[in-house]
Amino acid sequence: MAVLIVKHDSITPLLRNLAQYWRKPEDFTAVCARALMRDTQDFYAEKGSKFWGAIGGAFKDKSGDGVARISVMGEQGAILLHKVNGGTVYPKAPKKNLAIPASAEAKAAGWPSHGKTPPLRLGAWGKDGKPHALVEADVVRKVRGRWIKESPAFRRIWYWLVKSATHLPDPEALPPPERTRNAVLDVAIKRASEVMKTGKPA
Amino acid sequence: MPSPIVNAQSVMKVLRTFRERQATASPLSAKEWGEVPVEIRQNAFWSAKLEHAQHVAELKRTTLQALRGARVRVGALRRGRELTGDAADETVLMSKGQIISEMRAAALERGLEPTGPREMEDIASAPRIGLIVDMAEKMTYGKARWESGNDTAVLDAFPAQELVRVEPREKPRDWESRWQEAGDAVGWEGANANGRMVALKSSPIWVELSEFGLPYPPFDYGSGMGVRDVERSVAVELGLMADDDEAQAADAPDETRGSLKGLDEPERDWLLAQFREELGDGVSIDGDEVVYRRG
Repeated sequence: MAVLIVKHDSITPLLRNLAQYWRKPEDFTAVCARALMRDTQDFYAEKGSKFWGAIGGAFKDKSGDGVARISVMGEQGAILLHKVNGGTVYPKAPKKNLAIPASAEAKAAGWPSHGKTPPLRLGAWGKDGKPHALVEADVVRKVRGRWIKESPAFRRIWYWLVKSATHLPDPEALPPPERTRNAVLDVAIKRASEVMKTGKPA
Repeated sequence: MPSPIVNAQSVMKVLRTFRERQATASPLSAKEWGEVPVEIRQNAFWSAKLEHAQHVAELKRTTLQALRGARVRVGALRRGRELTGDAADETVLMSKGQIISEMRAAALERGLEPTGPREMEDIASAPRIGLIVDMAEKMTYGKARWESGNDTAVLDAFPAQELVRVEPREKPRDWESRWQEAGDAVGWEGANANGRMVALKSSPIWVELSEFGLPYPPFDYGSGMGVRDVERSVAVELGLMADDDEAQAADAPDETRGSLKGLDEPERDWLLAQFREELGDGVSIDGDEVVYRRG
């Protein structure tokens, strides 16, 4: 199962200390896990794109072994792992190339083969029998009063075709540890203060 | 640290929730499915007007693989049938893109015709397949989070939740108006009528808000809306619940003490400052203990 565990594994002395205000340590951990999930969801929502929002939506909190942790499930977990660690991606067989968007418009349109309304009409352009890019197909222009088909070499490039692409690790793929630590501490302090006030453990 | 006790839902349980849904072929439209009792609908995996049992079962199977983050042999996919040797044995992540590619090919192979003129009525269309996968995944995650959010300890710390946008949309729906309508319908029981869309997790507003009659997101198709936990103090401030802590404080002992053992000087100072911010000047340090004195 490709499940990424985002662990808040450095249980600081402060967090360990605050656990005393809960009757059961596992209840404290469950609340910490929930606080961690809320803040990490906020982090991805603040990043603003649909992609990051979807990762935030795949969260599941879990506090099974005394450590506050959340997991990112399924495909989103695998994508996040790739973002965190970086790596090289290859085309999926039987495809031979990856299509890398050549413009913001191409990026917004998604991948070349699916879901276009109306469909993008693209054709391969290359040299020596090897395709290098996907360009607009069937472009015509008027020359001396006659419509002629534009040479593929002068058409707009939508996607570059490559054999592989290497992504560097994204240092901002996970929320900064300081941020998550503070988010968890904030919730723990508030609840501990309520316990101090009433004299009754949570 | 204490011995491990699982008190929140495990990942395996989330997957079991989905696996136990019955793949159901049916001529019902989405609107008609909406009228089916929620207990039945929630336990069924269906797609509007999709009567091909094998196709529904395959949709469910591939979606479960995506939820598990499973890798599948390329040779086992329709697009890899012609491949042999290493190329066929290569594995790929069962992503939403893979499901779309596979289920499009399956729909065409089975001759499944569109049930209407709209793109969403074409079972072979990428947006339709994508929506089915998205909804199935989000329903599963939503239910899992809702269940762990109702754990007694979590509920004690976060008794309420707020309706928030979690994914941007080009044309967002008017959720503020929908909140008002749902609130009016349930007499604002446990829900905030003015300003923030916050309600107790137990409020009937969540079911009223949902297109599917469920208390957890997604509340509608492709809504991009989700929920965010809200602390007890905020729920009290908004008047959603009584301040039990205030009532309990009346019977509280004159002072409460907490241990500071294991903390260094800066950590003790930081903790004291935090407690003072929450409780005022009645907090002090006495040797290895932090003390809160009432009055």
